[in-house]
This record gives sequence, C-alpha cells and structure tokens, in this order.
Amino acid sequence: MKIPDDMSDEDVLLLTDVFPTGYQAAEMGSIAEGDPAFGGGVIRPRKEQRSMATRTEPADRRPSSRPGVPMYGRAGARAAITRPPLDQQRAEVPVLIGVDVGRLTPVFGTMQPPRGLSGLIRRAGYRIPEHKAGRWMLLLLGDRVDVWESRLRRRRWLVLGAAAAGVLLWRRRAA
Amino acid sequence: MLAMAYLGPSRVKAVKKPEPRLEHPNDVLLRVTRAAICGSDVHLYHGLIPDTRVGSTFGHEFVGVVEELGPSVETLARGDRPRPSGPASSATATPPAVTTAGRRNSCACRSRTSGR
Repeated sequence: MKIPDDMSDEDVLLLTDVFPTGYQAAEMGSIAEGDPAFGGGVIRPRKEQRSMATRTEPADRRPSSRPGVPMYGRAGARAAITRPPLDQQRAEVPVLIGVDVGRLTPVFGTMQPPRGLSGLIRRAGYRIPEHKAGRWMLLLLGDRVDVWESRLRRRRWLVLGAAAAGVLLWRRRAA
Repeated sequence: MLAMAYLGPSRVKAVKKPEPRLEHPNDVLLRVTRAAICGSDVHLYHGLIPDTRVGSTFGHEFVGVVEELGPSVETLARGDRPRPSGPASSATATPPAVTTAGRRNSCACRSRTSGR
C-alpha cells in the first residue's frame, strides 16, 4: 500500500494496524450499522487520524474483491485473485516443505535455514499434515532444541574443554 | 547491519547481520523509517509460535522508503513509501491453500517480509 505524502509514519502505523483489525473484527462478528457493540482498548486516535481513516478507501471495500476474509474463500475469492504466476526463487539454502504443499513455493524465506537436530525434528514435523496436533508439537519441540543447540554452539569451546577434562579425569581414576 | 535476533523464549539481542539483498525478481528492499511492535511479535518473543528459529528478526509493522527494486516490480518506484504487511517467514514453504482461500497475509507464496 502506497502512503500519501501528508501522512506521518506514526499515523500510518496506527491506522494500518488498529483500524483494519477492528474493521475485520466487526466484519467477522457480523456487526451491522446500528448494532450495539462493545469494544475495549486504550488506543484513542486523534481527530486528524480519524479524519485520515475516513478518507481512505479500503482496497477490499467491495465484497467481490475481498480476498482477505477466509469465510468468503468458498464463494469468490479464487476468482478475485488473478495475478500472473511468479518466477521461481532459487533455493540456495535447505527449505522445509510441508506435506500439505508438496512442492517449493515460488517465494520463500531464507533467513534461518534448518540445521542440526532441531532441523531434523522440524523436517519430521512438516511431514505431518497441518491439521494434526503432532505437527505443531514437533515444531515447538524443534524450537526448544534449537535454543539449546545455539547455546551449546556459542559455548562450544567451553563444552569441548569440559568434555576433554572429564575424559582425562575418568582415565586417571581408571588407571 | 545491526538487527534484533531471537535467542530463545523472552531473550533477544542486537546482533550484526548481513545486509539484506534481493533474492527474487519481485523483491523490494526498504529502508525502514518507523517500526512498531505488534501483539504477534510478543507471541514470537515468548516462543509460542511454532517454528520460530533462533536468529530470526521480528517485526512486520513498519513503514519504509524503497531503496532497491527487483526487475519484475511494476507497482512501486525508488523513493516510494509503501506500508508492507506480511508474516516474517523462515526457510519454509507455506501451503498454497492459504492463497487459494484468500488469506494472502498468511502466505509466503506471494509475499514475505524478511529482516534476515
């Protein structure tokens, strides 16, 4: 979304997060004009921010072009998405592909490629369909293992030194 | 560049990371001018979102100025101020089902936000 020149960064961040969230909540809650509604929160937009919101035209105002609401997916969302296919991004790092996908998507993140034991656990997790709890449990387990792996990796010389000292001590006692 | 890195539940640190680069013809490189913390970032910070990898940089509520564009980008120009939105995705391909169901905000097929 391009931003008008007269809007400050702070106004943009407030309006594009708070208002769409409330808009979608009202829409998904089937709140119609005139309905009584109760809302809680501490954010109170200034008058000029409210004015900016009212003169902003939501891209999905017409239900026929509203791909952002899952409940509309059955009716017309597929028809609304008519973009040319994307070029395929080259995979320069290992990318985990969920069993639900079955192929490399055109675009993917490359920030933190899977590695080590946590990578194996995550790989196993993505072999389980996403509607199964086991998938998410394995991914969470992989996260915790990842944390310990990274701690050991950062202190690898300390760990290796302690292990070597332990072996020496054990040998001396055995002798 | 200096960026926030996730080290584990409730642990983050500012670390040096490689400069971001274009990886796809549709990629856009932004210089972030203002960022906010979303409730989703707090869930990530607490380690409650599955597959949050150590070293990840959080943040998806931000405004920036376009510095570099991929050759396939037609709707933006250098110097534009777009307001992106999307999940930060790690090296994982997101199911196409989220696209076909219209949930583009959950899909890495069409867009991704990478803090590297």
